[in-house]
Amino acid sequence: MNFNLLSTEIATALFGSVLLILSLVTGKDARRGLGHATLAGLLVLLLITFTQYGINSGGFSGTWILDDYAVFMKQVFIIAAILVVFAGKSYVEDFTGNCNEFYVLMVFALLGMMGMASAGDLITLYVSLETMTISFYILVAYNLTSGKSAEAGLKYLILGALSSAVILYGMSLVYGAAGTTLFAKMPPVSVASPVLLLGAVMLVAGFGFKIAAVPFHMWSPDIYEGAPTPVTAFLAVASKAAGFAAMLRVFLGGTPVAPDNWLGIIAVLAAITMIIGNLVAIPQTGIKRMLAYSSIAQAGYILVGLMAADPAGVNGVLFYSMIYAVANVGAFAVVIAVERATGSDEIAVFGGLWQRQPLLASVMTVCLLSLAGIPPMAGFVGKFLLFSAIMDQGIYWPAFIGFVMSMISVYYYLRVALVIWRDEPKDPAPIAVESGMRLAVMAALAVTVVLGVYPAVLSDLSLAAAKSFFGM
Amino acid sequence: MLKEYFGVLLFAGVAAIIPLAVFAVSYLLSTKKDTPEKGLAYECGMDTRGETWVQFKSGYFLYALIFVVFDVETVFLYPWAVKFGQLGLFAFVEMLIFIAILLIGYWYAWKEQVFRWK
Amino acid sequence: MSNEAVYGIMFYLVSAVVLLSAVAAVTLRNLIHAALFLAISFVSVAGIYVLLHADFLAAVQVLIYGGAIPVLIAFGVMLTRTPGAAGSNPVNTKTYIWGLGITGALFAVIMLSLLKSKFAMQGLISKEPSIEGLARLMLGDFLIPFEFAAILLLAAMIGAIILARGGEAK
Repeated sequence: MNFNLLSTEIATALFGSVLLILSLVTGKDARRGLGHATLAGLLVLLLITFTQYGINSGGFSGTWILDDYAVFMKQVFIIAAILVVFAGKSYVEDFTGNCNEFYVLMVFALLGMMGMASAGDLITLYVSLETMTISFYILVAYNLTSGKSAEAGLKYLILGALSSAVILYGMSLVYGAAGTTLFAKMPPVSVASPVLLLGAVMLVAGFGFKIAAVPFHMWSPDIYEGAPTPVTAFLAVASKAAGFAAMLRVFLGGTPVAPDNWLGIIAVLAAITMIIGNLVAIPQTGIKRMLAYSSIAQAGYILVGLMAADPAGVNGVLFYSMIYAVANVGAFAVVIAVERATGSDEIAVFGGLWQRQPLLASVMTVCLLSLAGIPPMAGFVGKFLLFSAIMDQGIYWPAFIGFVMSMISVYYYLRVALVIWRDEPKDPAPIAVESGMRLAVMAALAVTVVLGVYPAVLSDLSLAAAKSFFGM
Repeated sequence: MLKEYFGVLLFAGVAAIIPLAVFAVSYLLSTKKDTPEKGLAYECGMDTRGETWVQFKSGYFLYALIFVVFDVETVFLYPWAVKFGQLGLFAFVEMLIFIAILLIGYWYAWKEQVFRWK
Repeated sequence: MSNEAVYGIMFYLVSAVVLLSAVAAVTLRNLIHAALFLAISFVSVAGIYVLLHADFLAAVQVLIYGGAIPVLIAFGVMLTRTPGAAGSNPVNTKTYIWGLGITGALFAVIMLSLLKSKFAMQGLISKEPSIEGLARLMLGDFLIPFEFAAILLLAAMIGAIILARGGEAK
């Protein structure tokens, strides 16, 4: 048994446990110290993942796969976690007396995501998925003094448990028809039976819930709105990326069902997700709800890459996940800062933000432009990779829908920018930005701009990762 | 193999019949005259005051919760214990790690004073 | 009576208990009664596991779902602040038709595809008690999900303590 394949996960599990023990030993007073310890630990984890590139092998009787694809996805999760902790540290320390456990649960959620990216069989996938989801149930309800947070937690628990049940039933059907839980040993297309198809459809529905694709998206606006904002950022970015990581493993790594069979389902999901996500985002007045619908739409774009089902498509998914993670966490970081200063998450409170805090105003604008896919930003390159992958196969309509919907999305993204730059501030007092937040938003800004101009830095890596996924 | 479970079935059947029989006997033998006196709490009870449905404290719930977690742990321990001889050292280490992780949780519960009855 | 006939009768008996008590758990107006019927339903599922030769799973079902989960549910019910047990489990009767329709359609789809497929391990019965194979698989091939399960339980425990505690403080 090659434990090197597990080194990131062992380190993460140890880190989470040590963090918990530290919080037990030091008591509640040492809050700030543990925030820094969390950051340091996450940075070490990120460094460890860099040593894992190029291993490209499976182990533990096929239940674990460590290819560059998995490593890349793990880096997306870790980077999202680092940015969230940087941006949300003070926010978390303000609203709860249990902030040590908050970090511990975040690390455990991270561990679950890593398992999802590396799972080689259904059981490993399911247990990792539950590790992530259960941590998130608690994180969403973490603001114990807020009824909204409790409501969001309860809703997420009930709907999440339902979707887990659907996934589990789907898995049991797939296992019954295939006789194995290993993706690599799933039977070839020719023997696909109705049960296998039914199981695969249930898996699509269950994962559709986790990535908030229409029509399984109903939960996300309420929960994004009610959850503490750093949790919303982490949920919107990392859990969605983890959902995609697992979905690719199941449907492209295992092919329990032929691409021809499920391409139709994925295509319809992608189309309605892009359309409904973008259209419903327009009338939103709360920034968190707007970003919730926008992240639904983003899931639609990424689904197009899944639909392509080739290295170019997977490359698009990987590249876009990273770009989306950075830009979205950047936007949420600004929301956290403004929410802390004004106590509200209405779009209206962003009025005249550039007079109050030019840095936050610029970061918000750049991140929203990137999410909209406006050319100099990295989001444009990501969308280009996703849509060109499907167009190379001679299928043009998803790219067409994506293009039109991106144009529509510019409207609601720029509306926020307009409020920031045009409106007069109601309260001209400047908003303070502490060092952690400054680092997070500067990093998001830098990555979004630099990768927009020099995408090759990341796309070389993601292309290699995509090729490793197909064993090339 | 299933025939071995016939005993379980028989047991369940008898266990179901006995309380029914007791109820039946008392129904047949008892006099059926209802007086207010009969509705009172008998000997060891007290007359209730106010709402009879009160909110219990969360201590009960926390106890039950910790119980469930370690009940689930038992489920994992059981197959390991049965095949302990054949599984060898590696499985032993695995199980030690498993228990150690849950012991951290126990420690946490202890520190959070879940077991202290207030 | 042949073995198959006894098996069939037992299967339908146990299934009837599972389903009827599940229906009672959903429709009864008293939450405590509903919880008790849920426990009965859980325990009867163990009977189905026995009929499927999954003896260890049956034991687990009785241990966890017959013992721990009903206790947790009962304490959970006792934590709620309701005026009384009667009417504590409101049922939405307006959407019965929709619920029935969707459930019926789903059932039809599932049944059709089950009847039309062959299963990879149809008719295989293991000679050894299921616990032995389970031990080998759990601690051998599936050691990663096994250790993940410990982390999962730990996270759930910490979180539940925090959330229950938070309710206490208020």
